[in-house]
Amino acid sequence: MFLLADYDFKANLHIFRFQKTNIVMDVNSGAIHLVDDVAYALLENLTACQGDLERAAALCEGKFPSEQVAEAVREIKAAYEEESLFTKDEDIDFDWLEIPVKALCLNIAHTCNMRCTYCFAEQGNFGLREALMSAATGRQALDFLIARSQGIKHLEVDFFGGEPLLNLDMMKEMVRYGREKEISAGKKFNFTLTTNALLLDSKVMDWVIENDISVILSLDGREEVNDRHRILADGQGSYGKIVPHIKEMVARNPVSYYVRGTFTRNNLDFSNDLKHLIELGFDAISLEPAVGQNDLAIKQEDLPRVLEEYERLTLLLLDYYKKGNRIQFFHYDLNLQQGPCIAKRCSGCGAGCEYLVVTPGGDIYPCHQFIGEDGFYMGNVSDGKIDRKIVDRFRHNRLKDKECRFCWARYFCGGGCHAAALHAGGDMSTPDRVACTMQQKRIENAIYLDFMKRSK
Amino acid sequence: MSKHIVTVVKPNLKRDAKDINCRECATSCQSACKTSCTVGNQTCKHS
Repeated sequence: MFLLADYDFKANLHIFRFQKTNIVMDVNSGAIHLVDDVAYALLENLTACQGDLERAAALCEGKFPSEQVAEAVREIKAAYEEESLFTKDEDIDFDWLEIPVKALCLNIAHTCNMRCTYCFAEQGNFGLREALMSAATGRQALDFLIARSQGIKHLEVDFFGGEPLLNLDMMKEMVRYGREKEISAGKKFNFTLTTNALLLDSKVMDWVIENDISVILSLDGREEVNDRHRILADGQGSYGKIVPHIKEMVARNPVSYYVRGTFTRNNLDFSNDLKHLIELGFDAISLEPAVGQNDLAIKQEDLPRVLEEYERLTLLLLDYYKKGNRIQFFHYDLNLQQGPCIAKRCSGCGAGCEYLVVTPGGDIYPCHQFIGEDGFYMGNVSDGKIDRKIVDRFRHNRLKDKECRFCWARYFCGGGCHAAALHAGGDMSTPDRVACTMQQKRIENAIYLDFMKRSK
Repeated sequence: MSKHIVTVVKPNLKRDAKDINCRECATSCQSACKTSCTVGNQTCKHS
């Protein structure tokens, strides 16, 4: 029987149109359908009529041939019976207090050799004392991770900062130590280096390749865009110095890489920066909006322009695809048929629970964006204890605890960034609306692009 | 044969309890963002 009077259509069904393609997302099953204009109208009416299919069909009369409306009604009912439309939300509850820690961000350098104007780390040291992590603290951090990972085999360590290449010898020791411990502990480390590439010389590249390090290489796009914000200590732009390093690193075929740029209010035409990065020869690219309470972060009033630009970017990627150029754009890289399970999707980024950051002094915080923040210090790797009250705070800030549970994008977004919410509105449990809007647009566009690629 | 609705992604979120929550997939903020959380980018290691 078709009974949907109590169904929350807004939260569980997302219908949108892009480039004359009608897409329907059944949020709780993960099913996605392409529909014609008849079915599109019918589903829109069904939402407006709160599940009254008869009335929804009646509203279509005169706009479409009756026979087609009747057919579409039958197909909707069939999809409902097959559980690919109007599926119910599942109640997932896991014990997050005992969640294993599986990922650490190691801030091995609270200092930087650049002065990027939008840096959320306040030019490398988060407003704290400049410091480099010692090998001893680093080993404690890896031991901490192994000890708290329970049965999880794949562990992640991200070398971050500041600029991690300012502490190269220590980082080499971390990888050596980690690989040694892998054997006895039965683990597999995925090491990632996020770097501004200034000190990325051929010897460092050799080490990266020999040790299977994944790399994130920071470059914002066009020279004038990059050099506006990614500046050296003397105020000069960095493009001329870093592009040759990044090109060489990518040419060496690292186990995984992304060229990662930040776009700000100053380059709302960022699809041109994507184009530039592609023309430089890169095929794995991430572009992220600048965040924080500063003049460069994307604001509410920028959104119409930004959303339009994401559309432009989508069509650009499609154009490249049609010409045989396979570009991996991070945010659009969705595995729609076999993505993460519902448990993962409900738990989001895992900050404060399975993902933690360690400062040079060994202090533990919920993630890299909470370093030095009052009330978020969790402990130190020297004794391996963490403040359960803070774990609890993040445990109770997943998407089901927030208004995210009513958002159609929830299982792709995962509840958003806790830090962004806190910094935007003073309350970690209220998502940053600007970030939400961009996220929703990206998801819609990614789905469209995925469909278009399949149909070529 | 559907004329008006074509399913391009089959239902995939409702899985058996034993097949979920292994926690082996990558942590999204570890990857190429560090400012956006996007769990949808991950691939299930059991796929």
